This record gives sequence, structure tokens and C-alpha cells, in this order.
Amino acid sequence: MTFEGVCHLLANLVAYCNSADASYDLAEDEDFNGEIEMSDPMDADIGVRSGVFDRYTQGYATESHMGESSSSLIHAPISLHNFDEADIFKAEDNPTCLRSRWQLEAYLNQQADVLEKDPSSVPLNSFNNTMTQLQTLAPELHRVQFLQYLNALCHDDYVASLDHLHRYFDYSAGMQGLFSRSLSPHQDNIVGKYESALLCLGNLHCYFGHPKKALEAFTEAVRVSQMNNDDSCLAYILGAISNLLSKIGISSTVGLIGSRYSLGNNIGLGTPLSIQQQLLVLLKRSLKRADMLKLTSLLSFDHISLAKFDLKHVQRPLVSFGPNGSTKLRTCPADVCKNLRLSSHVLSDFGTDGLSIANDNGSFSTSWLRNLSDASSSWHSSSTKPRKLITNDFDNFHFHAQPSPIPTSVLQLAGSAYLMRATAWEHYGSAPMVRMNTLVYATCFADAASSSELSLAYVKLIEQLAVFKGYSAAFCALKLAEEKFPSSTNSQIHLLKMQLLHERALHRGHLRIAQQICDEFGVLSSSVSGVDIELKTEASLRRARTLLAAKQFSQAAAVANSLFTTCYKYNMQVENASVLLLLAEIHRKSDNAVLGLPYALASQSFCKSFNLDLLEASATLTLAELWLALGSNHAKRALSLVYQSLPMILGHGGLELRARSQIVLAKCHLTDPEFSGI
Amino acid sequence: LSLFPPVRPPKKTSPKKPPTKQQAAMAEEQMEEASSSAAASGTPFQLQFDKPIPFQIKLAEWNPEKDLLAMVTDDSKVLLHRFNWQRLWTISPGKCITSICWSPDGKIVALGTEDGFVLLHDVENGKMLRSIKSHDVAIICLNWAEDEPLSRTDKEDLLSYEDRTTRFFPPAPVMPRIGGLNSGDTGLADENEEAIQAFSSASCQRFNILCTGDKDGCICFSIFGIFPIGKININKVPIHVQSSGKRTSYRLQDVSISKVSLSRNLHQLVLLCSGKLINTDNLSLSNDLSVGVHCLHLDTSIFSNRKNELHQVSQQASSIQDLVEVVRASISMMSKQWSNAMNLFHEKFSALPSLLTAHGMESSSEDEFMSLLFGTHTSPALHQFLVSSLGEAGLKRIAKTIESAGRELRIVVSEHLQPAVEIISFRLAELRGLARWRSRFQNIGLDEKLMDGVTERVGMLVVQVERFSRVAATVLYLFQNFLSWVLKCVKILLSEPTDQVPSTNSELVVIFLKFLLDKDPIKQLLETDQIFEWDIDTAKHVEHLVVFGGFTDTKFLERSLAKQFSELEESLKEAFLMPFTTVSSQIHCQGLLPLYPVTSSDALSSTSTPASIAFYKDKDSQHNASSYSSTDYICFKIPDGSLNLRNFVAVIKDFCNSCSTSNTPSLSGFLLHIPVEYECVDLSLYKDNQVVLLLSGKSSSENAGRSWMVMLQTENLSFSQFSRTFPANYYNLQELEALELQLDTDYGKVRSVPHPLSTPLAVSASRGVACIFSSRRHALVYILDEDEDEDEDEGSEME
Repeated sequence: MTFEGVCHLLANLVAYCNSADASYDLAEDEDFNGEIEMSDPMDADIGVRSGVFDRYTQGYATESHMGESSSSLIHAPISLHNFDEADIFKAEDNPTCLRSRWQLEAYLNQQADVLEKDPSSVPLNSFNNTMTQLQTLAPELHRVQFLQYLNALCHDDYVASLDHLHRYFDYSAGMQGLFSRSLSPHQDNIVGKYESALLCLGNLHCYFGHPKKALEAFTEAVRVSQMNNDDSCLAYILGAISNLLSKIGISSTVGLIGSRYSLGNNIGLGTPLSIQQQLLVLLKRSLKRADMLKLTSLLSFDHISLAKFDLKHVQRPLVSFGPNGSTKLRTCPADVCKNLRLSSHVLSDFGTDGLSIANDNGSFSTSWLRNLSDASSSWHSSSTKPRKLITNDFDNFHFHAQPSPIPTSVLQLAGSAYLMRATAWEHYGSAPMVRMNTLVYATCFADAASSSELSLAYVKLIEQLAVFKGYSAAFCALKLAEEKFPSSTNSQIHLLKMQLLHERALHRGHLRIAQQICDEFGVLSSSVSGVDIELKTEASLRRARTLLAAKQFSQAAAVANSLFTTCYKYNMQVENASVLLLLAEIHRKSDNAVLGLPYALASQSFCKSFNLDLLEASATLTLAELWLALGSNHAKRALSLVYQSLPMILGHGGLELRARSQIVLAKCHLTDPEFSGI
Repeated sequence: LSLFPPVRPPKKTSPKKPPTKQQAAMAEEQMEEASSSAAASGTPFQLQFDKPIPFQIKLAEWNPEKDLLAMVTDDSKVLLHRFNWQRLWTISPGKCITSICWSPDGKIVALGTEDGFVLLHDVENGKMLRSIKSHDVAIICLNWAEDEPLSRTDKEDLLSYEDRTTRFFPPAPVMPRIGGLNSGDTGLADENEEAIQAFSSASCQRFNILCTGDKDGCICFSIFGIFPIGKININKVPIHVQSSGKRTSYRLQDVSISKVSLSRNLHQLVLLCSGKLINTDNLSLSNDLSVGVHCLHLDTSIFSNRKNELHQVSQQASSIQDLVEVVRASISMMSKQWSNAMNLFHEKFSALPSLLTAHGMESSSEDEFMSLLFGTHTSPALHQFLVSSLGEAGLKRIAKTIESAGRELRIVVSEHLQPAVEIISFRLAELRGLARWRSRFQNIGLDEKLMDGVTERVGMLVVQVERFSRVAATVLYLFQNFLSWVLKCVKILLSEPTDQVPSTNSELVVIFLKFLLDKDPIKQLLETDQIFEWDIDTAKHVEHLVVFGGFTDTKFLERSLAKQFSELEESLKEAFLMPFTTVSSQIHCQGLLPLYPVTSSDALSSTSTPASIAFYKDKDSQHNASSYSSTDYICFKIPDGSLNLRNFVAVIKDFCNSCSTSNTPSLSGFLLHIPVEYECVDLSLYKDNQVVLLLSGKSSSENAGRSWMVMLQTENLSFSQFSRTFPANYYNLQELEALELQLDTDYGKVRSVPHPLSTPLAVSASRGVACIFSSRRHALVYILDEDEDEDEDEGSEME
């Protein structure tokens, strides 16, 4: 058979396949013009730049499959689901209906990818209808249930998702295991059933914000998998638990872990700090297991989680004896860097340990055929006209590039390492590094990224724009981003918009608008459904700042103080530093410099131990301002402080901070009686 | 026995190699013998030992921190000896070495070569750390000056700057090495790596500048000896002379520099050079006499005024340059490894098309494989190819080669390329931050715009590296898949069991056949001259990102990885050239003092005339720690016949100050007449304003074979002021008071040496020792300071 013949045959197959899913493409609701009440002040700015804006709009009007949101940084549950999917849709060699079944599975796989990438593009009900139809046609295809579970999950339908999950594991009854890449390939899958179901259940609860139930499920899963010697499942469960721990705020689980699940002898001894230690222990164990079992994706995920932990926590030695036990109370950024580098190995090491069977799932049967017609047509055209340009067929930037055998989950993990890097540099203070890493992510991993992660990258870019290029540029970009990611579902973009509007209102002195946005923040954070502690802190931080701008110092100080206690209670040291700085600022503005000094110093030392260089520089600047407020005889000291902070501020600080530092510098010179000016 | 002089223990001799027993015993014996005889004679300098050496020594220099002596032989070998004459190492760099000096911390020895290279060698093992080509012709003199800690001010502490890189990153990656090939000496290579690492981190300690002067009148300055920061061509430096209210411009022609010395506060540079002085206003005025040896004073206050800034910039920039080398090495190594593997693959698989034509078939090899894949039939040509010409063994060999190449690629990308690019981008970001502090860093030429451009480029490079690693991972996987499929086919054709072969994905085989059989995407990315086509969607995506603050150069995806890297290099070069030119332009000539004329015939030999320049701290100015001043002393031998003087040595002091403050003419000096029957072989300034002279009996006199070492306290001698009547009269050294040197008087320490002496004389002010070489190939080491305690103090001070 000639090549063309094969193409023809396969093209027919894909036509068959496409006819099934044509309805969804049409059913997608692209139209979104979500006007939010806040858009009025924003549009004023956009109008100026509409020319630029239009230029970029055209290309994206037809863009599909975009728009979803979620606020988790690393987005572990989605990643985990993704491993599951990849493994679940492992081909079964059923000789009776090989082709059609294969195609069907490929289709299911594709749908799962779409669901993962952006759930908002898949309407809940019509999808369910198709799935039900499929199920009646092919009742032995239990994955349909799983897909329905995923769909319900993505649409926040708790009851339906739980129902489908139960049904999936009841029906499939051990015929399809989740983890194919365990050490012993001939291990029978029946054993690995129950714990996988529990793992999924745990993830479900975790997603819906029921830490207690999730932990129950995980604990049971650990017990079962230990009983069945299912090491790979155990590794995944450990990863999931650590994800849960880091996600739901440390302090709320104090009682939970100690009573229910015993990791060892020293767990549950009480102090809140030991919970962090538990998280660390869990992560390290999961890492060790993943390394041993060569679960590269989990390994990479654990490395990222460890980096995230190291970013905000001081790693204390688990066992320290005597006076020589190292008591270095600083975070270790080099460890973060090392972990992130290791996690990127997931991409470069792909395929090193032999061909992975999980790939032979028919996922290409749809995708590469789609590209083949283009490829062959360009092939023909290339023979007629000589081309100077070179086509790199595996270049991910090339449209004709062939589908890569690398699963998206691997790419996503490799990409999140870059996103995590950007976050780390936000903390450590290197603006160009934030921008660069985010750009690398947005450029190289845009094809594989889930919309929530991609929108996070765009949020970071827009934040950079706001800080370094001004608000109008940021709002212009924000408008584009909103089009790319429908804001009805994307809380991340929505949050960013509120943040930017608030900042600008404060900056321009529009206190009424600022207050309005603050109230909105309050509404968002007080919702009972999810206890997002970060949103809560941000809401009260913004409230305090608004009050400060309105010169209601005592109220602002009260809010800030209560915020400090909250942060302290939840062990959020990094947030503590900025709250302390805010307190110092409040005291400075209320002409009470002496009271402000200790706060500024405390903030500075917090920053030092957590390596928050940029925040430290601004704390130093505040300190200089405080000294300056104490009288002209302190001008020299203030000047030296300003000089200390200048390299950091000029290099990595935003426009506002830079301007402030120059003003302080000028003030120092002016108040210094000895300064001659020449 | 109580007379037995204390044998100086070798101080801080860090090299680990213990002396062989025999050597040590011999050395000790010799020392005892020699020093006891010295003590008995009661002469001023203790002879530590007298050892024969099998080489003719050309240059010798004591380590400023340790009792180590580096010597260069006539055939350009470099020897390092301990104080007890135990040899630590010998190296032969393979180039003619023309100058030598130590780094101020004594950890590196710098060698200047005849072809303009500066070689930096590690004191521990003699390994070369760096070789930098900064000159085109022979480097005649080196001077490595360190900023003195005493000149530290409060302000400096305030501006102390932390290099954040070590805090945020694990140790920087090193050059990739080809694994497996030289596994025998990996230990050595590891050591070398460590040394280089130690070098780059140690160089960040205290600010220092290496000055190199060459035969054509160029002086180069490099911070830490590695980061070039300025270059001056004396031939082009205008020299302005203020005399009787009139300003005259001069220029020197055909300059050859013989000595440079940078003061320890880095404020001024004094150099001796020979050349022709011409009046640029009136060219006809120059005459024969204008060819001579001149002393120039250059104002290098930029180094001292901006030393913090220079320190910070050079610290970042030199590490960036190191890492750029790592990236270059990584790319070239990946390219080499991959092309080796691909050559093997194509060599083996190219047999198929010829077999096809031999069988009279018109199909391509792609078609043949395709039909094999879909099980229609196996043509005889393909069958022959797979079974006989390729065979299972050949196939396995290819698979193994490609696998190992892939492994190398992965290692290089993840261990070297990615970390190096990451750290480069961080350091560039820091430099850009510094560049924004215009009031401080614009003076030394750190340009914000240029740094912005470089930062942008490095961001694109990171994207390219990521793209490369992804393409590589895909291609390697496809190769793996294809080769196992072929192996399976071969096994089937040979009717062998196939259960050992991993299962393969036939779709990927099709992709491989169509897109990889005769193309090489990895190679494309590693070549500089490739331009990639890219489609409209990507273009839109990239342009879209511009609104979000993406790279403004949207065409960067057209370039290959190698091309992007070379662009980064270019912009880096441009960015670092800016400080180089800015600093160079701020070094001016402050003053000129013609010393003595030379006839053109002996102009060449004049470079080897003994001369020494030193700066001594003014005792009375020490109360003002912020800006102490120092006095320069210049001591040189006047060649016989010049200025109608014979056998004279001149000592001049306060030349720099006389240039800068014209109202108080403080320039003074004296001439020293050496007894007729001796000639001055070499001389050197020594600590506390002393001069050490080596006198050797002239071969004609009865004193042939007898020599003297003389140490004079210059303060005991009468300096007489002399006016600088230049340009009316070029040379006026004759005006100075001439003193007779008498070898038996006690205005100095005199010791006779029973050997005819030759150059060089190596004295160490910090260690208080001198080493002289006899023309009969003997090395003699003397202790110059009898007062051992004082010396110890000195030593500990240096620590």
C-alpha cells in the first residue's frame, strides 16, 4: 500500500470520528461580552489605545477553547487528574473491535484534554448527553463515566461528580487500573482498584474544599495500598496529601492528622510548627518513593511542591541534637532553585527509561491526521517552488509541527516549573527574572497549558506591566486577557482587575472607588464555601491601605493589627513582613515616627530571614523616611539607608517605589545642613 | 649551638605536597652550612643558602604572601620554589614568557608572553586558570595592585554591595566534558574545575587591578586580572606641559614601555618608557636628543574614585563571561555529539536507496518502510538491507550510539546549558539594576539601554533553550521508537522471538519515516545559518504577547539556538565595550619627565636597563585615613655614556606630586656614583625607602668574580631638589648632587658575594628576603632584615 493510500484510509477514519464531535464545536458559546460594573473607569483608558488593541483583537476573535479560571498556583489537582487520565485511557487490546474502540478511546482522551484545558468551553449538559449516548452504545466503555465525573467536577457539581465517580469504580470493578508504570509490570490490576478509587475520592473532596473528608479518604487509601503493597499508588497518595496540606492552611488541620493518620511516632505531638514538619516529611517521603519507582511525573510534582515549601518556610532539621545543631533561621533559595531544576528534568528525561506504554493510547489517531493534510499539501507546494526557509517539523512553534509524543501532563509539569520560578522571583525580588520566566512559559507552553495556569501567567505579565509601565498599559493588556479568558469563570483575571483598579484608585486618590472595591473584596473573602486564607489577608490588607489613604489612622492600625494576629496564627511569615511594613507606614503617616521604627525594623528582619530582598529594600526606605521624620540631625543615617536600598529598588522596584526612593533621597539632601549641593 | 640561627619555617606554604625525605634532608643540610657561615662572618645579610640551579634564570618574583619564589628560565619554563628551595612545580607554557608578577593575595601568578597573552596560573598546582589576549606584541611589564584596606572609608561600607547570586543559586555550572572518553583522568579535571571555581569566587575579595605594558606602548588594565577595563596607547596620549604660562603639547612616538607601577591607592600610575618625544605644535623642534627614556605620570583616579562601582560591575561581568563560555562549550559539544550519532545512522541507512536502485525499484526508502509497516509486502531490497547489510548487531549499535548521544544531550542541557543561561539572566538583571543608578554608574560607562538590550536577548535565549530541549526530547523518543520497531521487524524476518523487544507505536513510526528519516531538526537548531519558517498563528501569539510586555523583537523564533546565542554574545560585547572605552578615556597623562637620552642604536637594549618604581606611604598623612597620599620613588641605572655620565644610578622621588601641584616643586633626587671597578647589575627599591643594589666586578678589573649587595637607606642621603626646566632643556638629571658610593662605609649595609652576579634580583618587601643569581648558575637567598621579630610582625601584618 502506498503512503497516499494509507492517508486516505486514515482520513476516512478521522472523518468518522469528527462527525461525532462536530456538535460540540458548534455548541460552544464563544460569545462573551461580560460587562462588569467596574469597566467604566477602565474603558476610558482603553480608548486611548484602541488602535493597538484592535490590531491584536482581530486575530483572536476566532480563538476558541479559552477561558477558565482557578486560583491555585501549581494547580496540583488538575495535574494529578491528568496523570490519571493518561493512564486510564491505556489501550486495551480487544481484538474484536480494535479499530473503533481505539478511535473511541482517542476521542474520549481528546475530550478529557479539552476538559482539562478549559472546562468552560464544554457545556455540562450537552456533554453529558453525548456521554450517555456513548454509554448506551458501548456499555463496556467505563471511561465514559470517568469523563462524566471530570466534567461534573469541572462544573462544580458535587453530587453529580461523586455519583459518577462511584459509578465508574463500581462498573469497571478492577478491570482498568490507574497506575500502569509501577515497578512490576505484570502486577495484576485488580488489587490496585480500591485505593485508586479512594485517591480520586480524596481529590474530589479536596477540590470541593472538604479537607476532613479528603483526609479520611486518603488515610483509607494509604491503609489499603499498604495492605496491597501498591507502592506507586502510595506515592501518589502521599503527593496528594501534601498538596492538601499546603492548600488548606496549616493550622486548620492540627487535630486532623494527628488523630486520624499516623505517619510515624512523632506526629501529633501538638505544636503548630510540627504540622509544617509533617508536610515536609510527607513531601520527602513521596519524593523518595517516586524516585524509587521512577514515577517521573510525580517526582517532578513533588519537586515543585518542595520548592513551594522552601520558598515560604524555613527548613528546620528534623533531628537536631546539642548545641551544634544548625539553627540557621533563614529560607534557602538555592534549594528552591535546585528543586525547580530537578522538576524540569521531567521533560528532558522523557523516554529515558524505555518507551512508555501509556502513549499507545490512540491519541495520535486524531491529532496527527488533522495535521497531515496540511503537511502533505505544503509538501507538494514545496516541491514546486524552491524554499529558502527551513521547516523544523518538531518545533512547537510551527503550525505544521507534528504532534509530539510527549503527553501534555509532562509538558504542563515542565511549564509549571517556570511559573513557579516566576513566583519565586516575585518573592526574592528580581523583576526581569519574573518577566522572563513568565514569558518563557507563555511562549513555550501555551499549547499545553491549562487555561488556569496560562491565565496565571498572563496575570503575572499584566502585574509587571502595571508596576513598570503604568496602569494604562496594564488595563489595555487586561482587556485583551479578558477576551482570551472569559471572565465569567476566571476569578484570577477578575481578581487582578479588582487589584489594579484598587491600586489605581489609591494612587489617584479616588477614595470612594477604592472603598467600593474594598467592599467587593470583603464580599469575595467572606464567602463560606471556600476558606481561602490568602484572599482574606489580601482583603484586609487592602482595607487597611484604603483607611490609611483616608487618613483614618487608628482604624487602619486596628485592621492591620488584627491582620497581623491572623497571619501569625496561620504561620504566614511572608505576609507578616508586609503587614509590619504597613504598620510602620501607618505610624509614619500619623506623625508618630518613633512608634513606627520598631515595626519597620521587624519587617526588615523578617524580610532578611525569608530572603524577600525587594520588600526589605522598601522596608529600609521606610526606615529612612522614619529617621528623616525624627529630625535633620538624622539625615546622614537616612541617606546611608537610602543608599543601601537603592541598587535593589532601582533594579527591581516599580515606578512608584523608584520615584519614592528618589524623593526620599532628595529630602535627605535637603535636610542635611552640611550638604552643599555641588 | 646557641649561635645557631633560627631556620625560618616556611610560612603558610599551603601546597600540600610534602617534600621527599631526601630532598628535605639535603636542603636542611645546605641551609645549616650556609647560614652558620654567614653568622660567623658577622656581615649584614644572613645567607640562607647557596644552591646550584640547572637553569639560566630570566625573571624571578617573590610571592607577596607566602615564602614562594617563582622563576622563569631562559627557555620559558616556570619554576616555583619554596623558601627551603624545595621545588613545588614546573610548567612550560610553550610560549616565550617576557614578564611575571603575582596577584596581591599571592594565589595567582600572572605571566606575560611574547605574543601578547596574559596567562594566569594557580599557585597550588601551576594549572592555567585563564589565558587572555589583551596585547598584540610582547608584554614587557606587569603590575598587579590591590586597593589598600587602609584606604577604606565609612562611605565604602555604606555602599557595600552584595552579590546575590551565591545566595539564590547553587554553584555555577562548569564546562561540559565529554563523558567516557577521558574517564581515566577525571580526577584531575575535577580538581581543575574546583580551582577555577575557587578562582572566580576568590577574585571577588578585594578590588585589584592588573596593569600590563607592552613593547608598542599600550597599557591594559584588567580588574581581578580577568575583566578588561581599559587600554591606553601611550603613542596617542597627548602630553601637555605647562611652562612659564605657556602650554605646549607633546606626544611620544615609538614608545616601548619598560616599567609600570600603579600606586596602592590606585590613584596614580608611573611608567618608564623609551620613545621619541615630539612637539605636536611644532614638529620641527624635535631633534636627536628627544629619543630617550621618559617617565610618565598617568592620572588613574577613576579607579580609586569609582572602585566600588567598578568592583560590582566587573564582578558580575566577569562571571557572565565565564558562563557565556560554558554555554558556547555546551552548544558545540552537543552539536559534535549529535552529528557523530547522525553520521553513523545515515551511513548505515544510506545503503538502502542504493540497494533499491540495484534491484531496479523506483520507490524511496520511506515507501518501503511504510509498506513494511502496513504489512503489505517486504521487497527483496528491504529484506536484504534489514537482514544482511544492517543486521541485528548493526541496528543495536546504531540504537546504542543514538541513545548515548541523547543521554549526553540531556545531561548537557539540564546540567550545563539551562543553569548557565539562568544564572546569566539573573546576573544581567542585576547589572541592569545597577545601570539604572545613573549618577553612579554612568561615569564608568554602564549603559542602561545596552543592558536592556542584553537582558532582552538572554530572555529569548532561554526560550530557545526550552524549545531545543523539547525538540530534542521528541526526536530522541521518535528515534527510540523507530529503532525498536526496525529491530522487531528484523527479528520477525529472521523468525526470532520478539518478546524482548519493547512494544512500539506505529503512528510514531509513520511520523518518523515522514519527517525524520532524511531530516535532522536537532542539527538545524544547533547551526547558526538556519532561518526557520513559522506560521501565522505563532506570529500572532508572539505579537499578542508584546501587548503583555513580551519580547519586542517578534522575529526571534526564526533564529536557531546557536544564532540566538551569537546575537547575545554580540550585544554583550557591545555592552561591555562601553565601560571599557569610557574608563579608558578618563585616564590622562599628568606629567612627563625625560630621564636620559639614548642613541637609537642602544634604544633596544635600554628596555633591559635596571629600574624600579615604588610608592611609599607618607608618614605624616596617615592621620587622614580617607585619602592618604603616597610618594613615588623611581630608581634606575643611567646607561653608560648617556648624559655624559658613567656608572651612575639615579634616585628620584615625588614625581607625581610635582606634576599635580606645580606651585610646590618637590621633585628631588640624587645620583649615586658606583666605584669604577664595579657595575650595577640590578637594583630594586625595598621597603622603608631603601634601595638594594647588586654590584658585580667588571671582568677587566681585579675584582672580577667578586660582587656586592648593597642596601642604602635613602633617607640618610641628601636629596636635592631640581627644577623641571623642560622643555627648554630636556634632560637635567646632571643638576643633581652626585654621591660616591663607598663599599666599606657604613651608610648602608654592604655584603660581598663571592660570585659574579647576573640579573635578576628578587627582593620581597613583605618577607624581607632577597634572591640573587650568579652567572655560574647559583641561586643565593639572603635574609635582608636581621631583626627577625620585626619581620614576623610584618609577616603577620600581611596575613
